[in-house]
Amino acid sequence: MNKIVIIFVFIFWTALCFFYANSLFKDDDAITKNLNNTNQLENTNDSGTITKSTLALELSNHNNQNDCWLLISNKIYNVTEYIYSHPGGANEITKYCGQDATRAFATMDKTRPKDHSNTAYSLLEKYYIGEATSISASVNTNSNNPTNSNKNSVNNNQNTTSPEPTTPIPVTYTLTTALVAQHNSSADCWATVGSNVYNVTSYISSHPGGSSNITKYCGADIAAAFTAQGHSANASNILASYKIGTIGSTVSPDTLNSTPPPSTNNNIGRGDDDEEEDDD
Amino acid sequence: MINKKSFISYFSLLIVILLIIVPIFILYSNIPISQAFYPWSALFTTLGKLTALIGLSAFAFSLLLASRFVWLDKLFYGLPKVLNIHRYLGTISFTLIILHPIFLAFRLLPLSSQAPLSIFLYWTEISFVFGYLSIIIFMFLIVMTFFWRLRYERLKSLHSLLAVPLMLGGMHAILIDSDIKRMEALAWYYMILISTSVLLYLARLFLIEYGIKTKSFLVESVTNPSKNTVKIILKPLKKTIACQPGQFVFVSFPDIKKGEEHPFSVAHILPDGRLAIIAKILGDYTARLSTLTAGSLAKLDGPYGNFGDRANKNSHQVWIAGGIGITPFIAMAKSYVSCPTEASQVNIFYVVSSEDDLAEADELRKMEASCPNFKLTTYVSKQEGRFDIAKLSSFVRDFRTCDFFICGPAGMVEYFVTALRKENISKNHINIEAFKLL
Repeated sequence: MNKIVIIFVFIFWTALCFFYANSLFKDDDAITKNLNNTNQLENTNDSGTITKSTLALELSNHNNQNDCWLLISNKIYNVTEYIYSHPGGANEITKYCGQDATRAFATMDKTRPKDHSNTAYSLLEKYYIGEATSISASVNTNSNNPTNSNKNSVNNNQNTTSPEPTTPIPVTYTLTTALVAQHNSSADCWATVGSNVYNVTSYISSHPGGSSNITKYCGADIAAAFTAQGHSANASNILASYKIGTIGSTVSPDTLNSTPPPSTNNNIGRGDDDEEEDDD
Repeated sequence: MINKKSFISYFSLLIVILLIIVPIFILYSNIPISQAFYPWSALFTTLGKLTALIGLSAFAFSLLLASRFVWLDKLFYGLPKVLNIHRYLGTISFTLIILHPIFLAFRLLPLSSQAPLSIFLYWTEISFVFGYLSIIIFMFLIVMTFFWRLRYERLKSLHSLLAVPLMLGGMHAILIDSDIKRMEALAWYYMILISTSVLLYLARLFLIEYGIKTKSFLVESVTNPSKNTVKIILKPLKKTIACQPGQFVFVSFPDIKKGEEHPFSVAHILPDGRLAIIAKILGDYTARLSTLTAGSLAKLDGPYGNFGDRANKNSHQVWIAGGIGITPFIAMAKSYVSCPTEASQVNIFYVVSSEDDLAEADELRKMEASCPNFKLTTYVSKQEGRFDIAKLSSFVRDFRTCDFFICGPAGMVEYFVTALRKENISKNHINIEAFKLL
């Protein structure tokens, strides 16, 4: 029995060392790979898409334990796979399937409210599908009449974060570095990685590294900072899901207002089957 | 052949095992088991949960069995057996509790490279801190008791501190967001189990400390039956302890050190409820036994064990004593009202390393002289070499017809058990009593 004891003490510390070493590991390959994936995403976007119905409208259809979406802080998550891994129990999730769980998530649904841990928040991001207002079915923009691009109206749209489904106004819009530079506040934060443009406003509060490490780059290029920080493959995936287009590309204000549906990004992966059926 | 007593002990063991795994049934009565093993995160969450639940209940039962109440001795057929189960459960719970955070960390591996480490770093959450402290103290105490050569009594008090990580682990389990918090049945199970085992454990410490569980004896005489041994005759102050031959008692002498108790086999069960113990002068403590004088107080707790229970059956008996391991055999030999018959003859092998250790051989020789079917063979290994199975077979013609009784140092007992098992002797015919940490 002495041997067993020493073996398991050894296993414990080895595992701990492994987790520590792993946390230092900067997988550059993964970042490059994922940035390449975002380029593929760009091609899809170039065809131009506009909102037909929003995820928020779809939400109520995914209301059971076999297909469970949650609305949390204006974002939609497909948590179906996670239900039975939930430390607080499956029932605590399933009763909110297809509903707004913002308050429940922030308070753990307790009389003495208790917020989820940072790990829980980052775990949640894995199941992210898109903004409540983002599209779930797409049509070609070209079939609609492009209206005048108006920066102010775009900015107004930016500030609208209503969880209610909104009927989008079909407009198109050209992305420029000058335009990106205007979105330089924590309330309205865009950033670029090379020619890719991201609207990360809604992610700021969820950033594991703290919101200030994002906000100082609002309106600027984050390629160097993002790589230097040694972000994980998953971080790259999350970033990719906030992509709104590339410099010089034309997009609709709705995509500016929100992140594109992750169905266009294979790497977000988890639980967006419904989306894939809708997107061709 | 299973007799009634060992049947009860198997039944008790079965009940303990069932009670340990009850949490699994409670858990999966509420959660569909089909969802537990797929995908990656669910599998590791499940493993994390199971290791925690079983680890904690096994830990609690391990402590419960260490509480050394006489009824445990009865339920499990002998304190040495109870302590063996205690050791197994302790090891199982230790390995499971070690694996618990590792599995939960692996669950987060696909999430990001920092996530797995993060679960070890929540020092701001009290429920996590309880878990960290529990596992660190558990590991420290186990490693200390297994690998640090300490004095018997220090080792024992260090080991008894293991109640602390159990309580911390219980706090962690009940406070942290988990199935235990959500399922009332699980929460009740762990609260009742952990508080029972901790209370019984504390009760035992308290009862011994205040002498409620022990009986008071006075030292009647202290003699040296051989150069390296000391024999103490104890006279009951009020009530004596009803001992069977082959049983042992825990004795503490407040004159030497208050509260420090050691196990001794009872060598003589004398008239008027008097008992005699014989100790080998080994270390610091046993050396001081010689300094005791008549009239010193002794506190006795017991009796425990069942070594002599199966003796005096109608079969050829081989008794092997290593050094001071002769003590239970003296009591067993003296319990013969009349001489053993031809069928139930006794062959006793008294193995010592030097003549100085040979205690009370005269007592046994007296019996040998009067009984033709009682044979004593003394063997001094310093002069005659190691007493092994080959030597034994030169004295005993057919092993298969014998019942073996072995008492002595753990190494010697283990050697003979292994050697006899190789000779195809069934476990039921081998009775042992080893000197181990009790």
